[in-house]
Amino acid sequence: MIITTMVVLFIALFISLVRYINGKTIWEKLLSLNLMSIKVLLLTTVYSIYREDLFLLDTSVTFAIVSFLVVVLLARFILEGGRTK
Amino acid sequence: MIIISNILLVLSWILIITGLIGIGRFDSLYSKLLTGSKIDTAAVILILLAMILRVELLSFQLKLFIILAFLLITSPISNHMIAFSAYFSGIEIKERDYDS
Repeated sequence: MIITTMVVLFIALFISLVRYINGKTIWEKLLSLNLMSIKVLLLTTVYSIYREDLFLLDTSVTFAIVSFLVVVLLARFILEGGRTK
Repeated sequence: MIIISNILLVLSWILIITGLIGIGRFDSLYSKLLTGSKIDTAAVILILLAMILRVELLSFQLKLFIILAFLLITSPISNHMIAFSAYFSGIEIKERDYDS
């Protein structure tokens, strides 16, 4: 049951990657990046429960903080005008 | 406990597949943001609750609860920042934008 969850998350991650490559505007790419980061985080958490490894959950906490900062700072950077300003 | 955890995992599969179909079907950016944020937050809650019910040690449960609380705070903020950036950069809101 827990292996099937990992397979479903991996397929969803792949479809989100295709949608990231085919995105028209930069905000659709940012949305797909957010979805991809959440799916990678869930995949790491489920894999750490599957292996019963306590210290792999620290990686998950760190990834949550980094992905939140990436999305928020990129959105602010695009709103301020990007590199063309 | 394992049976309840398995039921929550099956519900989370249904939610993830529904979110992917919804993001593919909608046309506008704001509809995609709405479905993506709702479905993804629900799937995160279900999967992490299933993992909390599945393990027995207290340290695992505390760390999973910390991850769940952090995601519940920060996931709406990041979606709101994407919508804020798109709206003030000049993308307009359409009236009817489904099933183009």
